[in-house]
Amino acid sequence: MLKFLAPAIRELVSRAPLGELEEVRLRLQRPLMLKDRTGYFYLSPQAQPAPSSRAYLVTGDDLERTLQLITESSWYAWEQEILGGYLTLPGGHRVGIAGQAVYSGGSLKTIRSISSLNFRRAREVLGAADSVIKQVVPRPGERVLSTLIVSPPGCGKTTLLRDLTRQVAGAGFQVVVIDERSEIASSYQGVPQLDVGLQTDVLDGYTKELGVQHALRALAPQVVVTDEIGQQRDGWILAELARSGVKVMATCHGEGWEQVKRRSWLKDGLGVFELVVILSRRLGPGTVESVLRIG
Amino acid sequence: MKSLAAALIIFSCGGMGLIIAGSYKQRVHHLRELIRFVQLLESEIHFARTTLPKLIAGQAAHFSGAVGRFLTELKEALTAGTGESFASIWDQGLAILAQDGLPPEVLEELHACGKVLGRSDAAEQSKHLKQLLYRLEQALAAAERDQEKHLRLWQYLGFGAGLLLVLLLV
Repeated sequence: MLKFLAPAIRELVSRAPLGELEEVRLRLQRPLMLKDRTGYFYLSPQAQPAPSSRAYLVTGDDLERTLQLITESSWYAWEQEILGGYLTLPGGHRVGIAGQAVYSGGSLKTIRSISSLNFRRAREVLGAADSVIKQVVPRPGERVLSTLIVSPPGCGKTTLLRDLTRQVAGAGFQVVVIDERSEIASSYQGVPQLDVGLQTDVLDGYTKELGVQHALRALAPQVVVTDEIGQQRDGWILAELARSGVKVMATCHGEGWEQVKRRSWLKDGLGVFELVVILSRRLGPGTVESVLRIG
Repeated sequence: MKSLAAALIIFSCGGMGLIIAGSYKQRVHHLRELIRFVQLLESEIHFARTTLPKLIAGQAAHFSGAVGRFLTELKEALTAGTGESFASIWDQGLAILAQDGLPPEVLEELHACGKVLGRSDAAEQSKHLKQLLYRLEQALAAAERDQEKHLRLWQYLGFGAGLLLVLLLV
C-alpha cells in the first residue's frame, strides 16, 4: 500500500512507530493522519505521533503525486470506480476519494478538485466462518443452506461473508459473487485480491439485477453471494434466484431477524433464506450472537 | 592528387546534400510513426481503458527511431514510482523528438496534448487525441509536399555544388 503514496508521505509513514497500519488519511492542507490498532493519530514531519498543531501538513503536490500513482496517470481507466468514490489497489486495499462532484444531465459525471484520499488496508480473516460453516453446509458437496448475515454496521458482516464464500466454494460448490461495490473480493483489474475460493466467479462492479441475469444465463451457479441487500428490488432478485433453484448468501443491516423479517422488500423473497446469522461487536467485530434456522 | 581532392570535394558536398535530403524523409517517417502511436493510444483508451504506463511499456519496442526512443524514455520514467505528473514526464520525452527536427508547431501540439493525457474520462481523451491526430495528419501532408519538392533537389544539388566547386578551383 505504501508504494502508492507520494514519496514524501511514503518516507514519513515508513519511519512512523506503528503497530499494524490500518489507514492513511491525506487531506489537503491538513495534518497527515494514520490509524493503527491503537486508533487515529497525527504524524509530525519527524515521523512521530504529534498534536495537530505540529503535524505534517499534506500539500497539493503530495495529493497530486499520490493520485498519479493510484490511477497510474490514467484517470479514464478508473472512471467507474472514481464515480463510486473509491479505487481498489493491488492487494485489495481501498482508497476512498473526496472532492467536488460534477453533474451532467442530472447524473454524476466525474469528481474533480480532489481534497482527500483515505487509504484503508485490506484485511481478510481466514477462518471467520469456522463457527458457522457446518450449519451453512451440513453436507459438503451436496447441500448448502441459503444464509442471511444480519448485524448493525461495523460488525464484520462482509468479512464473514467472504470467508463463508471461500469455505462454501471449498466444500465443492460452484459459487458466483455479485460484487457490486468490490468489497467482497476486492478485485483489481478483474482479479480478486482477497481469497474467495477456487470455485468462485466474481462479477465485479455489476449491479445485483444484471449480475443475477448473467450468473443464471452463463455461469451455472449453485450458490450466489451478494452484499448489502435491503432495497425493494432485492426481493425480486431473491425470488428469481429461488425460482432457479440457486442458493443465496447475503448480508443485511439490522439489529436482528425480528426487525429484518418485517421489511417490505423481503416479502417477495420470503422463504428464500433458511439460516440467519446474527452478528454484533460484543466481543469484537464478528461476534456470532446466534444462528437461527428458519424456513 | 588533384583527382583525389576533386573526388573528396564532390563526395563531401554530395554527402551533405544527401543528409539534408534525408532529413525531409526522416521528418515524414517520424510523423507517420507518431500518427500510428496516437491512433493506437486513442483506440486503447477508448475501447480497452488501458493505462498509459501499460500501453507505453507494451508499445515502446514496436516503434523505431526518435518515436521509439521517446516512448522508451516515457516507459522508464513512468516506472520510477515518484508520482511525477505525466505532463512533466511527457515534456522531458519531447526533448528527444525536438532533437530530431520535428517542426515546432508539431512539438507545441504534442506539449498541449501531454497536459491533458490521463487527466479526464475516456470520451474527453478521445476528443483531444482526435484533434491531435488531425494536426499531425496536416503536418504529415505538409512534410510529404516538402519531401517531394526538396528531396531530389538536395540529392542533386549536393553533387552539383561539389562539381561546381571543383571546376572553380581548377
